[in-house]
Amino acid sequence: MTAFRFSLNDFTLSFLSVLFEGFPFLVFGTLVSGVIDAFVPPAWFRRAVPRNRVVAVALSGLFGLVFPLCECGIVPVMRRLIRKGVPAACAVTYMLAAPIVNPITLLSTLAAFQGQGPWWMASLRLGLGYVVAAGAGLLVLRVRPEAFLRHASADLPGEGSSDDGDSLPMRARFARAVRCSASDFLDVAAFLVMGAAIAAVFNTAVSREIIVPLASSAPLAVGSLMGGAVVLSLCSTSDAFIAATLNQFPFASKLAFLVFGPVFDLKLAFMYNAVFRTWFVGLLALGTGAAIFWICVNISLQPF
Amino acid sequence: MGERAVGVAGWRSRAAESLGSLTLVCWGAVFLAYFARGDLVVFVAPFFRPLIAAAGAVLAAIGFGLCLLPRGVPCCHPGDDGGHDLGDQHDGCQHHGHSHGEGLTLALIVRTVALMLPLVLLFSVRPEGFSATTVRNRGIMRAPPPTQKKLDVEIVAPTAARPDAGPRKIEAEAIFTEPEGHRASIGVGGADELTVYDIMVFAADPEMRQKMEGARVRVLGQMVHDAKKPGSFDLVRMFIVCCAADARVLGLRVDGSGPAGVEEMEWIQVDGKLGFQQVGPGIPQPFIRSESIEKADEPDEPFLY
Repeated sequence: MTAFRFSLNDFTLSFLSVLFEGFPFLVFGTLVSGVIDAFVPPAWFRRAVPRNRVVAVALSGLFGLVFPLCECGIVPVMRRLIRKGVPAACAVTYMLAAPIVNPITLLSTLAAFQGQGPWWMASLRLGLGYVVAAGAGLLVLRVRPEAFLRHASADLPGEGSSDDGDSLPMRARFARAVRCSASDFLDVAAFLVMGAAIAAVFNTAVSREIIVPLASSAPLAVGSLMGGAVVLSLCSTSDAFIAATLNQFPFASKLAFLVFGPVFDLKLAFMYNAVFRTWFVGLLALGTGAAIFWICVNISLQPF
Repeated sequence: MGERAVGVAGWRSRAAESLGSLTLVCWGAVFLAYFARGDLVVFVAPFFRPLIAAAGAVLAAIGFGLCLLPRGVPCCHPGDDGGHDLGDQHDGCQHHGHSHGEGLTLALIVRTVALMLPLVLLFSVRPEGFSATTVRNRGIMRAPPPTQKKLDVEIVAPTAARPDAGPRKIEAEAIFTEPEGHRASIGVGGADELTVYDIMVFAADPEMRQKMEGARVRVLGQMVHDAKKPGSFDLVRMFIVCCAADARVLGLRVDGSGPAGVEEMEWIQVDGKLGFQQVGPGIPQPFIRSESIEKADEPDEPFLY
């Protein structure tokens, strides 16, 4: 068994297919971001977000149910929401939860796990995704935004969230939306490219046989599938179809794969770096990873 | 001196914005061209192709829009990533009361290279399908998952009972999920074109295995040698949900060494009798006792969905 065999043709195919699949969602996300910037006044967000910060974080984790976005499109929208005055903790909660807690992911998980306890898997996935996102959001509440946002002066609400655009004529607002969309797309797409390239190497050059022995124990199985989710960088709308075929692995390890992947993977690591400081990205990965690992290992040890 | 500095800054700003526009227009044009020429078949499932075309149109429109938009329009926000994302100095932009970035910076050039490199790779490599390297790395799935449930399939004999029936396909979810309420008809009296996927679905159902044992079938796929089994080879098809990156390899073992002159991953058509054999725990593996093997043209859709 050769663990690593590289083919430039296959790398290119896998790499570009991720970009072809991911870019439309990124375009959609950046369009939404541009529209929010140009047409939605910050005052609207200030009124819409509950004053109680804990309640606000709790509700942010459910916002994906009415405004679903996959992880490729969520990063620019999240950044725009922060600039518009939405509390950073709420935006982070929405960013982490929305790729999982949304109707599309629910349906794809139900479809993929038919015959393997679809409602169990779907409800645990959405539930755990929500708990992890809300938990992270509550912790972020305790940190000053300028401490973890990259280019804090640009990303912090205030400077960029003034209502000065409200008085602009429609044509100028449209121009502003276009500029914002372009700038957000170019920012985040470059990171998606880097993440997709690394994921493509793992996708095509690393033998899957080397992961099979990892299914032998609960912690090893959970940890290895979480690692697999990071390197494969699959879309949250389709990853359930991959997880469902990993027959050697126990149920809880598939759950870990489905929750951790949309929260943190290689492409997201690069995309998060466009918004957050590196230490925060690392802490986000470690914190959410440790929580998901601990919960899933405990689930796998339950006698049912 | 001051005028010269403003002139240089303006030039750098325009160059930076032009780079952004160019990048967007290039990606938009590639998306639209690949959609129009049908070249997306090797990258993504049919569902995604209109989305890619739409994204291409939007990217191209934004790219052109950046060039055509009047300068002096209030910018989107201050200082994205190091001052300003597009490197735009925004002549006349004063509403924030601060300057905007450095124009054409090293970071901007690196970003542009990162975004253009995939297009260079696309045109220089021009991938048309996975090689046997990735097939082996991903492993060949030769039997359906044990969770596959019973399939409601109607056996029609002979094949002539549906002479006008073209190639048909069982719903993609059936193999990995419960094919509830699904009905399919196949003939057992003569050769019937099936996909590797269809046969996997049949293999999951004990009743279907019994009915299909010995049935003459015709299957299209790509040939992959197995060094461990010199007297046989795998007839494989890639099954994808969204894009080529999530492809799984479905394989059907075929008796025989394959026709002379056929290289790995070339398309072949195998006629033979279907059988099922228990190999280890789990569901029996389907296989074909080949009667004839011929080279075949690549199908319009190389992946199964």
